[in-house]
Amino acid sequence: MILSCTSTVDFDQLENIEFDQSFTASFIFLNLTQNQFLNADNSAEVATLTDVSIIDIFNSEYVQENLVQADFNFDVENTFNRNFDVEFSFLNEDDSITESFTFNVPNNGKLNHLQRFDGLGLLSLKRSRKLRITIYLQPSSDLSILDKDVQMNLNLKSSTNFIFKIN
Amino acid sequence: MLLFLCFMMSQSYAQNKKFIFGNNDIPQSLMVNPGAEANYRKHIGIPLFSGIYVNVGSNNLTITDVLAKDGIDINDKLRNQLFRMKATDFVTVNEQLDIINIGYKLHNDRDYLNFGFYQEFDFVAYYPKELTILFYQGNTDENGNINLNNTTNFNELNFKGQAFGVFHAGISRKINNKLNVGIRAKLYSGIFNVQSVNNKGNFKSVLGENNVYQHELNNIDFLIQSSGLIKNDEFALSGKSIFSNMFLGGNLGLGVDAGFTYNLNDKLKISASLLDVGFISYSKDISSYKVSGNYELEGVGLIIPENDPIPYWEDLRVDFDEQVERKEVSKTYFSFPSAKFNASVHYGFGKQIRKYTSIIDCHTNNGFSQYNYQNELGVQLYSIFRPKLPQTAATVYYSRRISNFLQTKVTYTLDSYSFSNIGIGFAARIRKFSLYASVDNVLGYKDLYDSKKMSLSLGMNLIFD
Repeated sequence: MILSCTSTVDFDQLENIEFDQSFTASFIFLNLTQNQFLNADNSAEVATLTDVSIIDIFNSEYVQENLVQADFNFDVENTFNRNFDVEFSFLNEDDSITESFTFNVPNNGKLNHLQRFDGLGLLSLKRSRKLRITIYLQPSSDLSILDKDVQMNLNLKSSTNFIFKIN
Repeated sequence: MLLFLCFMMSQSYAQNKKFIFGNNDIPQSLMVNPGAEANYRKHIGIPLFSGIYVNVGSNNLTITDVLAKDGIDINDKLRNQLFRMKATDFVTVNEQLDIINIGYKLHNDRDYLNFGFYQEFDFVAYYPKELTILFYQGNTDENGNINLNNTTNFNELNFKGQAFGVFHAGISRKINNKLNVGIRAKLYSGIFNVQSVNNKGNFKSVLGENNVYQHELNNIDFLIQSSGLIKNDEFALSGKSIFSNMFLGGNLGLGVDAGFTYNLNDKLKISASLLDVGFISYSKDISSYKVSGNYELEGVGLIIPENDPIPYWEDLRVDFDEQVERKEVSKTYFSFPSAKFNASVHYGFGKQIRKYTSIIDCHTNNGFSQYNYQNELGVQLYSIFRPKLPQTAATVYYSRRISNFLQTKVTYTLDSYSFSNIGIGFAARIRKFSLYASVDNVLGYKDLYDSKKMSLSLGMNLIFD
C-alpha cells in the first residue's frame, strides 16, 4: 500500500555506498644531540642508536579491513656536520621485518621524505606489531670525533596519513 | 522497516494538533487547552481509541533526496546531502495513545472536570554535522591536506527519546460568558529515557611545537543518560518493564498545563495554552556514561638511547585515561518533557447552526444557547520547546459545518521548511457517538518517500449533552 503511492526510489542503492576517510595525525618525533652519539667519557662515538617500540595501530579489525593506503611523512633537520642514515623497520610478533625503508639525511641540511604503502606493501605492513628505528651516524671524512661542547641537533618530526575505504 | 524509514524522513512538528486545538466538539481539545470550553455534560473516551496521535518526520531531508532512482550516483547524492544539511536539522517521532479519558460537568455548571491516563513516546535527534563530516571524509580536505584549526564541536550531538505514562486531572472553569480558564495537573510515570542533550567541547588539530601537528580535545564534557533500557549491561526493556514503569513504577515526575479561551464577541475568540511544563525524575535501571577532560597529543616522543624498551603507546593510553575521565554514572537524573505553546484566533461567520443536542436543559437554557457559525476562519501558532531551538509553525484554517453532525476543517501550515502543507480533518457526531480524524500534509501522501512530514490523529468518544 505504501509502495503503491510512492515514487521510484531504489533501496538497493544503499549497497553501493562507499566513501574514503583520510586521517592525518602526528606520528613519532625525536631530537638528538651530539652527546647521545658519544660514549660515557666522550672518548668515542656511538655510531648507531636504536629504539624499538610496540605499535598497536594495525592491530584492529577496522584498520585491517579498511585501510587502503598509509603514508609516512618525515621532516628532518640536521645541524650536525655529518650525514645520517635513518632506517625504519616494521617487525611482526616474531621480530621479523615486514617492511623497512631507509633515508639519508645530509649534513647541515633538511630533508622531507614520504614513504607510501599500498597494495602488497600495505598488506605486509598490516602484519606489523613493532617499529624499530635505527640511526646511523656516518663517520667524518677526517676521522675526527664529535665535540661534546659543540651543539648539534638531529630533529625529526613525522606524521601519517591513513586512507580508509568504507563500503 | 520501510514504513519506519518513510516516517523518519518526513517533516514534522511534533504534537501540532492543529485540528483538535480550538475544536470544542472534540473532548480531546481539553488535552491541548485545559481552558477549552466544554459545552456538554460529560464525555467518556472509548478506551484505547479516544485519542490516537502519530507524528513523524524530518525537517530537511526526504528519502527521495538520497534514494531516488534517477541515475545519479548515490555517493554524490549522499555527499551533497551531508554537506547541505544544517546542525539544527532534526528527525522527530511523537506518538500519543489515550487509554482512559473521562470528563463531566460539576453541578455548579461552571466547572468541567476531566481526567484520565495516556501514554506518550517522544523522540528528537539533531544532525551532528561536524562529527558526521569528520567521520565521512576524515580530517583532511579534498587534496589530502589536514584541516588545521578547524573545530569539530561535540555540542552538535544532541538527542532525546522517552516514553512515559501520564495520569492527569484538569478543570476547565467558565469564569463568565467571555472567559474560560483551565489547568491540568500531570503525574508522569517514566517508562524509559535515553538522552544526550548538553554536550560540550571540541576536537581540533593545530601546528605542533615538538612535532608537525598537535591534536587537541578541548573542554570535553559529554554525557549520555539512560533509564529503563539497560540493566547489568544487558538490554532490559521488556513488556513487563514497560507495563510496570508505565504505572508508577518508580520514575516519577510532575507537570502542569494551563490555558484559556476568551470570547471577544460572539464571532471572535482567542485561546492559548502552555503544556507539559514539568519534569520526570529517572531512577530505575540507570546506565549513564560521562567523558570529560582535556587532551593534547603531538605524537610519540622517542627517547634514545634507552636500554629497556619503553612502552610508548601504552604510556600514551595511560596518559589519555588520566587526562580524559570516562566513567559510568548511576545517579538519578531529571528529564524534561518537551513543553508546547499554542495560541489561536478564531472568527466565526455565516449562518448560525444550532448544535446537536439531545437534551435541552431548561434550568441553564443550555440547549438553546449552543450554536455555532457555519464557517470559521482562524490562525494558529504552535511552538514546541526542543533541546536546541523551539520549533514553530503557523497555521491558517477554514472550518465548515456541513450539517449539525459533520464538521470539516482544512488547514494550511507555514514553517521555515515547507510552504505546501495542507491538512484535512473531520469530526462527526451520531447521537452520542463522536468520531474525529485528521491527516496533515496530505500532498505528501502522493509520494511518501518525497514527503518530510506525516501526521495523523483520530479518536472516538461518547459525548453526553
